[in-house]
Amino acid sequence: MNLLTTFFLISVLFPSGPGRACEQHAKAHAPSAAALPDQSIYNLDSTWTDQNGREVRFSELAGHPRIIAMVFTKCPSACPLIVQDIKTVRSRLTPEQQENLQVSLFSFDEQETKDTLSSFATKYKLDAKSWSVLRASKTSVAELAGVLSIHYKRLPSGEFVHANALFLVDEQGTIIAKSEGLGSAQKDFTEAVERAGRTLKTR
Amino acid sequence: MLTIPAILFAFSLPVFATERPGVLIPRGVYEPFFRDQGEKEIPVGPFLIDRDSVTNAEFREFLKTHPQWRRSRIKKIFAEPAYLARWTGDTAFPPTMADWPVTNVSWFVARKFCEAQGRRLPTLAEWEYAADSRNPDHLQAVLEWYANPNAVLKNVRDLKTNAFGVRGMHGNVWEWVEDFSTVIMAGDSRSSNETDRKMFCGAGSLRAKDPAQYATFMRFAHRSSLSANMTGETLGFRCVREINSPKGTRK
Repeated sequence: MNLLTTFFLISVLFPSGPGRACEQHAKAHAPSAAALPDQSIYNLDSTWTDQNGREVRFSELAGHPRIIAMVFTKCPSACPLIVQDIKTVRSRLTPEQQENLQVSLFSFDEQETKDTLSSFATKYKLDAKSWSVLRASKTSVAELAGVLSIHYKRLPSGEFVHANALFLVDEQGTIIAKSEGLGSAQKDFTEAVERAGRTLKTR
Repeated sequence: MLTIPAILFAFSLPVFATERPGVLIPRGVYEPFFRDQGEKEIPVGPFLIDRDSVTNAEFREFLKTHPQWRRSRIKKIFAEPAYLARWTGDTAFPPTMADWPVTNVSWFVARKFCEAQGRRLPTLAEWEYAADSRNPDHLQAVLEWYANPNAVLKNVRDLKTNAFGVRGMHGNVWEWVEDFSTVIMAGDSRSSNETDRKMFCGAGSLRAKDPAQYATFMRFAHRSSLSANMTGETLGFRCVREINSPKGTRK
């Protein structure tokens, strides 16, 4: 018990570093676990690390609508297309809306490092204000893929076979739109993102 | 080799629930049924696998100490509404069901049960290996099971034991594995629909190694249709416990 208390105190006294303004807002306004709707993906308790080495508790992503996809940085073809699809959808929003409707890309690969994540972000010119590329443990990846119903498999080469899909989740983590396949997101998904963008208040 | 100290070590680990009988599966090699690019045989074991599927009685004990996983409290993201559909209450079921495999449980819930016992779900390779599925005897049993659409769940004690000493791997329920989502079936290869191909990045060949293994094919097809929060009348699970060896724990 002593050890547990020690860890608890450490985590309280030394929380992760300062986040972006939006993240701090989310932390202040994120619904508590009890308040999360039944279908919210943020009911998952996992911790991810982004391309800047920042630790992000999954439930902290609540508070804003968000576009989510699962990728891996070594991906030669499909994942860049996923990124392109997301950019195309977001181009329908105003610059202000784009800043508030953020994108989180979660890697299938528990072996990603801060470097592989940031190289990916640099390579595809992912604006740090709106885009996160994140990694976590094998278990956390499995659980996220579980709530998103994405099938995936690590191959001996280190690459992944995986389903391709984009998700729009609302500020409480409920999936409100899904786009499957590559090469231009489906119309319904694009419209849902536009609607979400319009309802965003300036923060 | 490591066998005797391994068994002694495994049984000396503290557990919260009653120790469930486990069968030692020695080190071996699993031949993948579907081979993706570069995939060769997969080393498995040694590990301890539950001799039987988890029963309703055992699952109830878990729910007593983990109330957030009860039917009335569980979040729908973790289990669809049919969760424990045959139970009559949060911790109640007809007495005849006590030693039947617990079914109508989702992947999330099954994992939590195993975790609470210091165990985990088997990987697909571990399950298939421990199921001794290439044994022709099992082929017949499974096909008989498929041929009987009104099969009822049975008491775990009444099920067949295989060559490893594991009971009920075939002929009663399907079982969850940790990595069920590695089974990806992109659809009929006769369809050259571009959209289907875009659904999956790098979809591998779907040719089974041995087409006569219809029963195994059915298991894989079933896994490819699953989502993590799904439940099924005939979908249960069992757990495995790792055995620490000098090579270190599995990732």
